[in-house]
Amino acid sequence: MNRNCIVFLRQLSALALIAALLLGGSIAAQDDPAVIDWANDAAWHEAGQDAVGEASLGATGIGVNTVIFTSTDSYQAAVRGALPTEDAFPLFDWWFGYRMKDLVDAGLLADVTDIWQTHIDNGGYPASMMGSFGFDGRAYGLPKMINYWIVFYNKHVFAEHSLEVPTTWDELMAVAEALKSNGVTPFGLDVVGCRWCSFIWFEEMMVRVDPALYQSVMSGETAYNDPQVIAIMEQWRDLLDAGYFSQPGDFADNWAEPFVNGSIGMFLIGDWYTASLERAGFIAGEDYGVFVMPGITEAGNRSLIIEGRPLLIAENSPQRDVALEFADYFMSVEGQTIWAETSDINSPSLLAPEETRPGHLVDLANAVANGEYELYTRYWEATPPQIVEQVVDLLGQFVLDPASLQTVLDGAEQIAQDYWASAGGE
Amino acid sequence: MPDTNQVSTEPLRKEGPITALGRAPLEAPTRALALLRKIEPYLYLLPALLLVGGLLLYSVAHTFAISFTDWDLITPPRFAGLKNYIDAIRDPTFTRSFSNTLIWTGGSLLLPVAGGLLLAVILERIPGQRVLKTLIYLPAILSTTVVAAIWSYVYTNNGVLNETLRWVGLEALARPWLVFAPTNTLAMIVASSWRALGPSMVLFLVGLQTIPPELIEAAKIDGAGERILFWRIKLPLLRPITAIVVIMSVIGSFMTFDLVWVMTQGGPGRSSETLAVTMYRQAFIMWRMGYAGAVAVILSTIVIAFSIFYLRATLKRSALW
Repeated sequence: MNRNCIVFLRQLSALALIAALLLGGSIAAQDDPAVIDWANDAAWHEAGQDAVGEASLGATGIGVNTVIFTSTDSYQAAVRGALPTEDAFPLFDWWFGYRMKDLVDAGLLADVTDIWQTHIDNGGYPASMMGSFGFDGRAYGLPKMINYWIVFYNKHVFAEHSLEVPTTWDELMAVAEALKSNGVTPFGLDVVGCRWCSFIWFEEMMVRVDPALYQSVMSGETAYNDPQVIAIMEQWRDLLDAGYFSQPGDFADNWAEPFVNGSIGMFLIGDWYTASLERAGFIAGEDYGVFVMPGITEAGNRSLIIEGRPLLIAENSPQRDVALEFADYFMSVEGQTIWAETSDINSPSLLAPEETRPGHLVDLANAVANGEYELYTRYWEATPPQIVEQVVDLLGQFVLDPASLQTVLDGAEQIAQDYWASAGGE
Repeated sequence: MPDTNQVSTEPLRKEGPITALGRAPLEAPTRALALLRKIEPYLYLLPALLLVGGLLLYSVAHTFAISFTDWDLITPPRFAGLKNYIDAIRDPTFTRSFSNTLIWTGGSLLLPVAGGLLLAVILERIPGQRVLKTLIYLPAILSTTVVAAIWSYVYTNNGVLNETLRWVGLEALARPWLVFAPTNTLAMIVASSWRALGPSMVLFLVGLQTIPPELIEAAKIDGAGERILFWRIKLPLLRPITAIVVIMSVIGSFMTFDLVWVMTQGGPGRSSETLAVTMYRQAFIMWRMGYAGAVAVILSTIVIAFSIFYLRATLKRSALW
């Protein structure tokens, strides 16, 4: 082979390499139509998603390819950026309520009301649940996870101080006082390492006193600095001033530790906290129990905060219809049983076998299905994120400095007014 | 015997120029081969050009363009003129982020730069310096997230710092370090400096080793003490290294994001936000890409302007500029 030839072949190889690099993306993008991407930002969902996908492949011919993002922010950016295009993930997890409203308003989500209705009619889901997954009577998300916000209490601490589970607000306050006088912090709350946690007691106090007022504030009809809201916040301020909460800066990033070691008696949080406690070796029923916080008023006795993680389907995805078919399977008893068995997540389906769900959460789900509670969407999703994201910082300031109550509520109202004024014109 | 050191140009003229693909012959090349040979250097540059052009220049231009729009990623961008810049400058949180960033800059100059220089000067002439250098450099190999996690534990109310203060009888100094401003920002600067001290110390040590010993000897013969030696000889001769360390620290401090994001997320109540955190928050939490773009442009302009003026002032007569 002469030198000319060698040189020419080398140059050709270089060109071929570059061409391969450029074309590589488009070759890899050719997907099997029977396998749909299912994106989320929760790595701990991966095993469950894969298992449901495998079962679905056998039952419906539709498989899933789990796409995990390790950062919530980059996940949201990637999903939002792709949603208006055909490159949108056909299936993806999101946040419910107002967190999905802009996607609904932009026409980017498939309507899943019919799928909901089928499974409500089958007795799989309480009808009251669907409202949190859509707007104006239509649903745009399916329940991948449902969590209720309840009080976890350390059974050993309660037993040590001869305390009973409180059934009224006065009893709860008596328990808190008893714990405090025995050197145990009654309630854990972290607003330093967890900026959003500042809303937990805001929403809870609101729905325990006047759930209608809570909804009215969420929809912008009542001001944050309305005298009724101020009165409720003053009650929370009294609890802060009484020393019933952990001190700012008490936590690093492991909330379970002080609860497990008994330095904190109670924790108001989503029932997903069950998994953290299990990982810490704390057993439900033996080491800890749960209760729904008693109402401060009669109206507040039946309230329960709900948090949902919806499964959404992209309207613009070429695989939209296949994704809808898969979603129907996912909602079914078979899909939910596999999901509950493999994901370590409590199935929201009432028909999922009870042995796949922690006993205390089965009781709660049944109580909801029996109409014992009115569900109220968590603050994070109950009002527009443009308001929430700023108000949680203000509420964090309030926890650090309870004397700033009026300033905080005035600031929150200003933020809300600015948003509703601009949203009103759209 | 021919002189092998003598470089002859004669063969080059006969066989054509040397390229990375070998010496190309001149005799009767095909037209395609000639074309390929002409574009060959550009092919090697292409990956780098694509990277720089695609990832940097395009991003800069795109960010600049979106800073004049309202854009939430899901609806088309709408032209907003200078609204984002005006909003940013009027926003009290932006002002607070800016002042926090300046605190970061001051802290980064004081601790990693001045501290690194001091350590280098001390370590240069004490026994056992190798072990000490390694220990001081060690945190630099940790990721920022790990550093943030470690220091989050150090700073909790019952963390190592407060417990130590109580143990040595300085209980009055124990406090919630990450809760109130500006203590939270200062505490995070210390955490960041713990990691940054080692690299700047090493750079200064390298700089000190490049100072000709005869200069030091001559100064000593002239009667210069340690203080004079440092201020009149070593420090002026360290100027190029100092410039690099200062520039890196200042740029790093303006870009401070990850440590703050992990430790406080800019809170509580946005009290520890830096400009980079504000930018990220506006982009990926509030979905105000235009506003975030405006903050990015302001941030970059400050950093570039500072870098140019500082380098010009510091290295005017140096070979580096």
